[in-house]
Amino acid sequence: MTTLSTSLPTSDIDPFSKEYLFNPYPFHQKLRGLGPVCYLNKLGVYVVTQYQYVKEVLNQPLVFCSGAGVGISNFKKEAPWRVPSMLLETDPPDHTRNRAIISKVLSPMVLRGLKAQFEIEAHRLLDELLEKRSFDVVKDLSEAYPLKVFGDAIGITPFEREKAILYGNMVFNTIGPKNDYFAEAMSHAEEVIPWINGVCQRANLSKTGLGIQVYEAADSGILTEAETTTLVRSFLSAGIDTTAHAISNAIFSFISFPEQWEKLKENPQLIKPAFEEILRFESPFQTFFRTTTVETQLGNFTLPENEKVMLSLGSANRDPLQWENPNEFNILRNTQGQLGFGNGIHGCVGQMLARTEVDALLTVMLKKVKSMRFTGEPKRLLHNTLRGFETMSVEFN
Amino acid sequence: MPKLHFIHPNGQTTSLDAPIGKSVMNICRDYGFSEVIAECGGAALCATCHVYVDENQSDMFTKPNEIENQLLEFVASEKKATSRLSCQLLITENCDNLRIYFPIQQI
Repeated sequence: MTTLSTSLPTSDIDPFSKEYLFNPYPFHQKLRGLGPVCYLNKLGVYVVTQYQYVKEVLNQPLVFCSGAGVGISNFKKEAPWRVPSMLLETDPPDHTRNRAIISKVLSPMVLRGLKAQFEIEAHRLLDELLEKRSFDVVKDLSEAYPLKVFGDAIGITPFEREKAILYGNMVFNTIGPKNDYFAEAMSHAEEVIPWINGVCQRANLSKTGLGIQVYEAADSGILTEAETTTLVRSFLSAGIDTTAHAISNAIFSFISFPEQWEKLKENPQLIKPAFEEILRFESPFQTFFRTTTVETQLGNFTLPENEKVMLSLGSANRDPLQWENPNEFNILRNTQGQLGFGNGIHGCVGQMLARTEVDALLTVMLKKVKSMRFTGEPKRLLHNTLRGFETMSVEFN
Repeated sequence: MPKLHFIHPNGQTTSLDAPIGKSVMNICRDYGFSEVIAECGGAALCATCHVYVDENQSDMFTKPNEIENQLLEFVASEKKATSRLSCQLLITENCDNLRIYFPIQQI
């Protein structure tokens, strides 16, 4: 049982409740108002919601570690459901070595080369969708596009590739507690886990993709073959669902605020900052955890050792102490420092790839799509840590 | 505060006072220097915040780590011994009169 300093604020808010997941922003505001750190009574964890302190925690990776898991489950207390990620759930020095392997594969030169392929698929897909006119953004665009371009770039088989979405769903939902969302995600485990392990094997990766290059680490003896397979798995854990939700959130925001779409059409050089604003305004990845490795101070409060600390990127990205009119979607804003890709040594290693994918898609959309509208009420996805949609019926012209 | 001198490709110099703890990249952004892009916002992932540190002043900063060295292979302008990613250069009290040279291009 932890001993709390008497002045550390507490709250009964449940950040994994249906109400919070549907619309977290009023809850974020309450939690930010309580102070730099707060204890959540229902979950028995600490939570950090202010921008300054979220960033501070992210930049102290040895004090606030990832090796004990980045979900609410503490790997020092209970076994993880899968072999821990060698990137996400690992600390320096192993993390440093593993990340260097991946960042070498995702070099700027490689990404520049991929952009052309991404635009070709964006053209093809948008032509198809404009022919249909009415479709579901989530299935037909947000998921279809990364499954194709990212899957091809990594070099995984097209066979049953949509299982990658189910796998990503498991990875991100299990960051939360064992609630209904967790259970639903894990109900697909039997069909998905063998698939993911299979597609990441050396023999099953395309000779010209990015995944096979990671096996160089095995060949040079830095990692074992099994470790390399786990490292390749990180691409598929992190690289599809998040991008898909970013695309859905982009389209939702542009249809909801059409004057921003008009601004973008008039100023296509704003594509990059517009995507940063999407990530700030509706962060696809809202919540994850760190674990304290020592007793430590955060904003004058003492946190005990071996405690879970929840970080709300979604809240930090709307903190009025950091952003002017934070609840306004404004592609002209200065988004420097937005935390949608995290920060520090664990900041998303695939972020340039994600930016390249969405850049290509928005570039082609600006050329081809004159207008967009909802043809029904978008159905919000309720997910422990991701923010996006289950379905979004639209008409594109 | 340490004084920094930024030498632009056209030969002009901009001198300014730099806050301790800030990265050279963020200082460039704050002052709107178009010579630094920093697509990844300082995450050491894009190689578009490339600068040259005065050859006599490299000791003002810790040597590049493996990841920075990897990325320096991809800078768009000539890579020199003085090349650094400005997002990795944090200003300290030792940085007074630091001279930073901008490359011609970042992409």
